[in-house]
Amino acid sequence: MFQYIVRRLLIAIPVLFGVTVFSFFIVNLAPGNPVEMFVNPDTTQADIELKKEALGLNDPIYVQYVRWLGNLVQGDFGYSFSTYEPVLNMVSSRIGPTLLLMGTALFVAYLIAIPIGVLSATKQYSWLDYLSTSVSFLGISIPHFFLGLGFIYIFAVQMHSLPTGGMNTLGSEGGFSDTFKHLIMPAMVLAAGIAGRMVRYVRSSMLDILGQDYLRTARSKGLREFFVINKHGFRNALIPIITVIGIDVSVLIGGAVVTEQIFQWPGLGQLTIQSIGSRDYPTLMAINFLAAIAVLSSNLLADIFYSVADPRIKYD
Amino acid sequence: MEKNFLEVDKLQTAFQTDKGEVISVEEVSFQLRPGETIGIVGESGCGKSVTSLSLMRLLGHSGVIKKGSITFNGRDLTKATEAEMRSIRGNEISMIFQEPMTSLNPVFTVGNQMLELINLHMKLPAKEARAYAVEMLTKVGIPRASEIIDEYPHKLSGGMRQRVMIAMALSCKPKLLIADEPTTALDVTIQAQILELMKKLRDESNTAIMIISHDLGVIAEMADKVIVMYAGQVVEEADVFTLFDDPKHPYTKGLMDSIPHLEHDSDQRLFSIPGTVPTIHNMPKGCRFHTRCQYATEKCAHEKPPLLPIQPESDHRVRCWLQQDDPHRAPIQPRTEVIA
Repeated sequence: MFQYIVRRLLIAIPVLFGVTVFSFFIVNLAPGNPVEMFVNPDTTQADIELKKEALGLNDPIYVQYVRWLGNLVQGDFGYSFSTYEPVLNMVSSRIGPTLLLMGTALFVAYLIAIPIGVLSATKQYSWLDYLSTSVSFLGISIPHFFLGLGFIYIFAVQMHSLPTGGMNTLGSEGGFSDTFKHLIMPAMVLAAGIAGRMVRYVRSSMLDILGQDYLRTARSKGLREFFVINKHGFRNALIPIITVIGIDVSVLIGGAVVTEQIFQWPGLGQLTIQSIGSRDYPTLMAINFLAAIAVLSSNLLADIFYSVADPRIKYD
Repeated sequence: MEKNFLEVDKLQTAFQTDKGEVISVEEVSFQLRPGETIGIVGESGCGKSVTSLSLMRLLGHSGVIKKGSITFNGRDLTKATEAEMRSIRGNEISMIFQEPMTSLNPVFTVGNQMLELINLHMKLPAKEARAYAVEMLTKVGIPRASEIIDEYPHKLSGGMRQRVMIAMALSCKPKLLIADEPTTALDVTIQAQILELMKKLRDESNTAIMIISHDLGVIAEMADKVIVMYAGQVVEEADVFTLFDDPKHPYTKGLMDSIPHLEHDSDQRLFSIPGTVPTIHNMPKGCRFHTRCQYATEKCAHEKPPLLPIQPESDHRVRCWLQQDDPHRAPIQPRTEVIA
């Protein structure tokens, strides 16, 4: 197992390298450049050239890449083109809010979706099953921007019960309950989609299990149906569920771009949008790099959890 | 003779399906004494497994016992509450299944699954419970039982897993062990070992066994008495010697004739009963076997034969008009065909 993990970590290095090459060139292919953001009627061509030279943008792309990579290896993510802050500070100050939003959304979604999925499978074709599959379909189908705007209209504009955006009330001291109020809507918007998908996966995964012989064995022991389903059944349905959780986590660490933007949530997703707008290459690269690490590590974690959930899966 | 502890009387089990209610098993009656073994034979789809699952009341959402009674130690199981049934399952009546490869839960250790049952019905301190589980595993002939108990089922062979199932089933010293095709999925040498083991444990513990099989060899080996089922009904019932010496029902004879014999010439084609078991949705009227029976008469097609003793007071019962109408008709000959 230990060897397997080490091997996977070593494989991750070339993969990460590939991701940085790819994303560096893609980012630079985008039309426009950071300097255009500083242009105003008084700016002369000479000023622009000077600026470009200073940022190193006149060098060939591969030179820029090698320079960026050289700094990265030393732990230096560079400075933002638009704010001149160290990229590391900018990104790390955004990780906390994103993790909070993501963690809440995932927790709420799974808390609701897993029991409903199990129930939906055990009572297949009942009104409860039809209700939960249709509601979950709705959750999957509604775009985040639409649900987000709908929530804002209902809860903020009409009912005045929740703030429209941000993480803390401006000018206030913040605090737990204030942040919590700001958290509810974006977390629910994210949770709707995640829960919708999860209900479907849990349901179909459980349906595969419910006909298994070992459940009949468990019943023939005199076990309560509750334990037959939730101990013997659910434990076997975990593998596909772990896969979905792994994907959810890796996607959300990259930031829920649309939702964070709608609710002005100061997380990585919002930073991504801002950096794209200002062609802030160093910041974009750092976010990409972080997202790649998140995908790779949550894949590895999912693989490790497979073998915890199912003893037949062994790595060596 | 000890008294019957199990009396199944005119059991009728039905399932709700998309096409409406279907009767899967009807008019199944038999009695069992402690330590006795009853065999149930018949083709696939004859209602053997449904009969056994009815005893356990494990028919799922759609199955229901419509009529009849199952008197077990003076209690009618058809009227018992679910909680009463849970205290009986695995404890007083336990069951082993056809597929040892899939009957154990792959994600829990052998010990975990055994202790679950032992803790449920036996209230032993943790250490004793584990020691008892090891003892049971040793009893069914599992080597290194104290190590195997911590293994997951996938590390064991089919025969070993069936031994684990037997150890588990016998842990609570049940009065009745239902074995639903316990050796069908095993190879022949393992089959013999498992049957020997079951016989040995039966003799030690006086547990009655209900063994379900389509393998007449297994039945001959194990059973004291046999019921032959066809299309959800008992068509013949007798003690094992009578049944094999003198089968009365054409279906039973057909089954006997279908057994390959070593002394047959290699160019003899093995007999098989023509046709298949009728589907549950279009059961023939009259005798259910008449569509496949070479002796069928007009009467068989229209009137249902009752299950009656061949002679007054006899334990040998048969559901066939031929036996009840004309005692002087020509005897039914064993059949084999010669390949041209």
